[in-house]
Amino acid sequence: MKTAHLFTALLSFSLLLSAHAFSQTPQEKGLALAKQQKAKGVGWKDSVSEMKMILRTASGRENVRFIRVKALEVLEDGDKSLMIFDQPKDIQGTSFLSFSHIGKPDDQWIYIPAMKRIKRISSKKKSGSFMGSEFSYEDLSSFEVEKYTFTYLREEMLNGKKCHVLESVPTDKYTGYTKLVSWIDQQDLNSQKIEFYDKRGQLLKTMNVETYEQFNDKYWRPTLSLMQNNQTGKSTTLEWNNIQLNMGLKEDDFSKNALKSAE
Amino acid sequence: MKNKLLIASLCLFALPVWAGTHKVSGSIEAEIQLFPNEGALEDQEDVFGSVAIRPEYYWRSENKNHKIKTKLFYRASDPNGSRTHGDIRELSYLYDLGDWYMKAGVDSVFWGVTESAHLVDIINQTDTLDSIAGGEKLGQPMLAVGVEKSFGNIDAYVLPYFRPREFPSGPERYQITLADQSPEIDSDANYYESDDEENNIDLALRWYKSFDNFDLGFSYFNGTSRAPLPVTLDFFNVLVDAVNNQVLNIEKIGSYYEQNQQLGLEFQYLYEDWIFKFEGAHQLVDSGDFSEVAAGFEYTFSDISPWGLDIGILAEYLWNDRDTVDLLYYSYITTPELSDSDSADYMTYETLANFSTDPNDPNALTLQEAASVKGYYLSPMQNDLFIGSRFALNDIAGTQFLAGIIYDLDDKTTSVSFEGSTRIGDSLRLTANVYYFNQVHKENPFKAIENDDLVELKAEWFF
Repeated sequence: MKTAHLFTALLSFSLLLSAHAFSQTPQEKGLALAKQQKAKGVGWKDSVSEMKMILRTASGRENVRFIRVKALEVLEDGDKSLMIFDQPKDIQGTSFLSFSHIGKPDDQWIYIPAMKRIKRISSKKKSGSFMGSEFSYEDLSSFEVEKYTFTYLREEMLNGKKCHVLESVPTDKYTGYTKLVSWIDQQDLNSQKIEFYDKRGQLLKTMNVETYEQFNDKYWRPTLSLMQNNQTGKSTTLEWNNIQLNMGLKEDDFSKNALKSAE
Repeated sequence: MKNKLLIASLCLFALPVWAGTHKVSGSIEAEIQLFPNEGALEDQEDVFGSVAIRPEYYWRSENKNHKIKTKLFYRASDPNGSRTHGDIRELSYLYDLGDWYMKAGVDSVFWGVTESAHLVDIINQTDTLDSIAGGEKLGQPMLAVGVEKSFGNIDAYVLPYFRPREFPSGPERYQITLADQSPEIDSDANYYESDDEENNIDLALRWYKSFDNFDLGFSYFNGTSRAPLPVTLDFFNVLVDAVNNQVLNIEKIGSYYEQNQQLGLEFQYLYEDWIFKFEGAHQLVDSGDFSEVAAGFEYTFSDISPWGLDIGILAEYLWNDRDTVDLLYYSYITTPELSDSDSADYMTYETLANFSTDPNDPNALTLQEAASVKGYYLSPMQNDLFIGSRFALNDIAGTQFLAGIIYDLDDKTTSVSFEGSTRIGDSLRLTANVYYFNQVHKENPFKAIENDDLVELKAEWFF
């Protein structure tokens, strides 16, 4: 009875949207949604922002990380980013340059100021923890449609918002996940909540985005998120501050020389 | 006083464009070094305590084109030996225009890809007083210009002043000398092939590019060799003594710096979890051209469950073909009376070199033979294997370990190192390092420091 209800609801909704949607499989619908979500975010060009991470152990002990981040939008490929670590203080001045790619491994370099050395690093380390936090490198890299296969699951209300529920299966063999389930609000197409499932198919982490802010009258950015590890009880709060878009950054701002003189 | 002057000159320098970003940072370190074995030399001590400070100042103009960086260093060590020393690690002005830059001042430059040896890395002198592992460098005065485009990075350096190497002395450990004798090294007795001595203008050039899955670099250096040859001081009397008593007894040695042309090649190839690395340097020097190679790989097991740690396995083969060096020949430079043809004491090199160390024994070594230095004293990694492992716990404290063994495939001399560190809170890093030698062969250059196994504990606070 319930299923029939949902079906009619879905059916009428789909019919209302477009006649075409009705003929879509859940995979096609999922892909279309992901593409739509990506397309909405295109055109931000570049960004400068400050990242604050609060790492929390199961017993509630807290550690804070401060990282400055520059990013450059690259159309038709993954984005470029440069991170400069300010805290913890013992790695202050260490910087990290990453060119993410679609269909081939990312290029990554780390600069160690004490040695004045730039080291190219193996980019396979996607699933590992980012600076001891509950976020992995993979969670922080740019979202590209080509990195997943999608299935549209259902519609659902979340925190008073009507959401699409989308399943994404990473195509990269070095991923730490079997699947992601995202709640995407229908109004702005922002991911409100993401569940991450580990290699055994168990729920590993849950991320809730507390606030989104709109920049340049168009681009939504999550400014406060909480990543909860469902298996260890640890959590990380990720806060973005002083976000500025379209600052006129160039390729040169993401070069090896830029990495060395970043500070 | 010195500091005030420094700050004053910095202020003056930056006055017209004073607005911008300023940052003061740095660290203070307390260190204790324990040598469980008695030293080979009489005066050497077993326990050392020291404090080091590394203040940094950084300024960047509002338009980000102008940058000034200062990093000073001072270590006070007890017992008060040569390890109490200071240095300007960095004091540089950078004019940064994105795809090209110009830099003037004192700075450090790193070249290379391998982990166990840095063969092509040549711009800076090693701070041998401060780090046994060789990671610390003395600041090098330079003028540098660089460009970064689709063809890669090209950097050119003019190095107008040379920093001679300083050697531990007195109570200090790690006094590497000639294996069969224990002469004292005089860090102030420096001799040069170049007539301009330490003011010889050195030049360096490097091209480096990252491709999809490999990196390639070529470099060229023309100038004063960073690694000295040992030369006998008070050479005339040593010779007289040798001829009269048939014993070659060298008590004091100094450093002789040749002119050097070095060609360097760097290559690394990334494949899945592997990084294959190669570094080669060919050096053209008067004492005999030679080549050095380091080649190997690093393999990383990442995010190992259930703890999420990373384990890297490293293996590198080290090789060089440096030949025997005639110490007698270069010791001439330390004794003007021997090279002055008007002097009554003048003797030709050939005459001297062929003096027997024992006229009664027809098979005795000649002075030249007795005074020659085997190549591996100068470049110990002649046919060696390095195997190491890196552990990163990926925890909140950023705990990591690096353990390594260097094994001499010819004489089986083994040196082992273990380095571990972890963080407490946000600003304090604790480090424990252990270095020890095993079955050092009597002709290996490590023989002189065989007793210098070391346990080192550090606490460094960052601000």
